[in-house]
Amino acid sequence: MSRINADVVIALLLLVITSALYLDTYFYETVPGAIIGAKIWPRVVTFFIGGLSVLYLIQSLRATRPEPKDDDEQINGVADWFRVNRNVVACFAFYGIFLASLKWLGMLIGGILFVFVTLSFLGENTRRSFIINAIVAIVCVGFMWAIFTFALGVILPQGEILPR
Amino acid sequence: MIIENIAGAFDAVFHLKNLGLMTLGVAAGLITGAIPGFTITMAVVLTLPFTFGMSAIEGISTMIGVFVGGLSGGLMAGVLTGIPGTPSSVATTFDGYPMTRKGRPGLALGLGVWSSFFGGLISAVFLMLLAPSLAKIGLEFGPWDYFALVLFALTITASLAGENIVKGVLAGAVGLLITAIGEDEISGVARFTFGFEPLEQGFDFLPVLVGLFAFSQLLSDLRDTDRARKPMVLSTTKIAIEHVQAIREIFRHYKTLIRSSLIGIFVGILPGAGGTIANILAYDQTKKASDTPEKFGTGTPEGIIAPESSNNAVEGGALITMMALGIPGDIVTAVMLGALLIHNIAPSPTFIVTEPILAYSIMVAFALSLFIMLGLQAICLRIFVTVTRVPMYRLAIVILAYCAIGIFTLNNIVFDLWVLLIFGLLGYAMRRYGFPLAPMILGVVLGDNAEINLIRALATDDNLMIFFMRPWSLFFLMIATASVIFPWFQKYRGKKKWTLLFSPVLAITLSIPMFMMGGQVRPVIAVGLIAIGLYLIYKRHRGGWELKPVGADEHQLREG
Repeated sequence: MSRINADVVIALLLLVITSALYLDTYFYETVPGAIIGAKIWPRVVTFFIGGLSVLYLIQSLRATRPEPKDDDEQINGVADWFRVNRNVVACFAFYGIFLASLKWLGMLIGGILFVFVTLSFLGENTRRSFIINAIVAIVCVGFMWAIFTFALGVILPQGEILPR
Repeated sequence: MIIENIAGAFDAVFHLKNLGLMTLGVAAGLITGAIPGFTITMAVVLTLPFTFGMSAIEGISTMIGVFVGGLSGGLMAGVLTGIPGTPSSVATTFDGYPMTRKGRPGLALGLGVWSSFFGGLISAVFLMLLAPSLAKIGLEFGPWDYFALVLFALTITASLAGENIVKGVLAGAVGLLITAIGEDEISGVARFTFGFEPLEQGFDFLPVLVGLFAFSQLLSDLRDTDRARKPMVLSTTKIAIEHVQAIREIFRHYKTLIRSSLIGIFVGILPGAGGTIANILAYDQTKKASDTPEKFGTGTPEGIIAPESSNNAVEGGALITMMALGIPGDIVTAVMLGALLIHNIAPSPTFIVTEPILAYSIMVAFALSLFIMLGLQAICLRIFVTVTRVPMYRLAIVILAYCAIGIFTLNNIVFDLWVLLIFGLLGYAMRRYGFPLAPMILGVVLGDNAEINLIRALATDDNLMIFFMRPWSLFFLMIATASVIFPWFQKYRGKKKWTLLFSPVLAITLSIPMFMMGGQVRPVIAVGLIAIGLYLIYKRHRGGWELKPVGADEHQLREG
C-alpha cells in the first residue's frame, strides 16, 4: 500500500469516525439550568477534526507519490505487511495475552512469562539465549515487582496460582 | 518574600530523601539518554509512575533530575559512537565525534558536560528572574485569552513538529478529543462512551501518554530484527574526562556559550519547541558567527559548546512558560504538568503566588540537578559502556513489562493497561504514517483547560468577536495564524516573493494588539514593531524584491 493510498484511507476513516462522534452529541441530555450544554465542546472539536480531515483528504488526493525514505520498505499486500511488522505484531499480541491472563497468572508470573516469551521470540534461537532470557525475565520482573510490592506498598494483581 | 520562598524551597529540596531521589533520577537520565533510541521524554514518562507515592516536590525534583541527566547523557553516545543518544544532541555529534576520532574523547566529553552545566545554570538564573514577571502578565488573561493561548500552543507545536502542518494540527485536535471522552465535569453527562461503563471516567493522562510515546517508540525500535538483536558495543572502554582543559576552552568561547544558552532559553519559552530544535539552531548560529566556519565538522570546541549549552538551557525556558502560564514549553514539561495534575496542582498564572514553595523548589531542583549531573557523569560513563553491550530487544521488552507494572499502580485497575495497549497501537500507527506525537500529547494535556476556558468565555458572552477584540486573545490568534503559515514560509523562502513580506507584515500586524493593551511600555513596543516592519519593507524594496537563496547549510527544524 503506498503512502498516498494510506493517507487517503486514514482521511476517510477520520471522516467516518468524526461524523459518528458528531452525531453522537445529538443524544446528550440537556441538564436543566445549564448555561452551556455538555455537547458544545465535543461538537467544536469533532467539527474541527472533520474540517481538517477534509483538508487532509484533498491534500492526499492531490499529492504526488513521495520519494521513498531510507527506512521505507516496499510492502505489497497484507502478507508482506505482516512479514515486515512481524516483531511489532507479535509484541502487541503477547502484551494482549499477558493482560488477558493477568486475572489468573497475576503480575509476577504473567510478567515473567511475557518477558521470557517475547524475548525468546525476538532473540536468537539458541540454548544460551533462552537461558539468558529466562534469567533476565525472572530477575528484572521479580526485582520491579518486589520494589512495588514491598517498598512502595502497591498491591499488584496476584492471580490465582500464587498463594495469597 | 522571595527570599523566604527560596529558603523554603532549599529546605524542601535539600531533604535527604529528595537528594537521594534526584541522584537516582539524574543517573537514570544519564544512562537512558545515552542509549540511542531511548529518548529523554520516554525516560521522564517512565519515571512518572514511580512518583505517585512521592510528594509533589519529590516527584517533580526526580523528573527534573531525569530530564537534566537525559540531556547530558545524550552527548555520551553522540561523542563516543557518533550516534546521538537523543534528538537533542544531534548537533553535538557533528564535532564531538570527529574530536573523539582525533584522539580527544576526554576533551569532547568534558566540553559537553561543562557546556551543559553552564547552559543550564544560565537558564536557571533566567528562570528565577523571568517566571514571576511573566506570571504577572498571565494574570491579565481572561478565558478568551487563555483559550487563544492554548490554540497557539497547539498550532506552533504542530508547525514545528512535523513535515505536514495538517497532520500536526489533526494530531493536536485528536488529543483534545481524547480529553472530551467520559463524563462532563460540570453536568455529569457521559460523552462518547457509547454505553461502555469504564469509559465514563475518561482516559487517565498517564496510560495515554506512556502508550502514545514510550510503548510506540519501543516497538518501533524492535521492528527490524537485526537492528534489535545487535548490541551497540563500544570500542572505547577507559576514558578520562578532561575537566580543566574543557573549562578553559569554554571560557575562551564564552560568547558562544552565552549566545547558545539564550537561544536555548528562547526556544524553551516557545510552547512545543524543545532541545531538538535548539541544539541545531545554536550550532547553525555559532557556525555563522564564527571566524573559522570551515573548522566546523572537524572537531572544533565551539561545535560542542553551542549545541550542548543550548539544549540544557531549553528546560529553564520551558519551565518558565509552564510555571508562569500553565502551558508546557515542550513534551517533557507537558509530562511534568501531568505529574502536577496527578498531585492536584494545576499550574496557572497564579501558580507562583499560590504554590510558592513548590514553584521555587522546581527552580532550585533544576539548578541542583546540574551539579548532581556533573558529579555523576564519570560514574555513568562506565555504566553506559556496560549497558551498550545489552541488545536493544532485551532492554525494550523489560521496559515494556515495567510500563505495565507502573501504569497499574496509578488506579489499581487493569483497564488502564488496556488503554496503554490501545494508545501504544495508535502511537505506533501515527509514527508509521507521519503524524507527529508532540501536538497530540499537548492536546491531551491542555484539552480540559481549553474546554473550561471556552465554556467560561461563552457563558460570559456568546459573541465570538470578543476573541478578536481582546488584545491578548487577538495577539495569540495572530501568532497562531503565523505559526500555521510558518512551514510554507520555510519551504518557499528564497523561492517565492510573498515570503519577503512574511516577517514585516507579521511585525506590523502584531503592533495592533500591542497598541490595544495600552499602558506605557507596550505602545512603545508596538511603535518599535511597526518601525521594524517598515524598515524590512524598505530594505527589500531597495533590493528590488530580489529572492536570495537560503544557505545550503541551514537545517530543517523538525521533531526528532
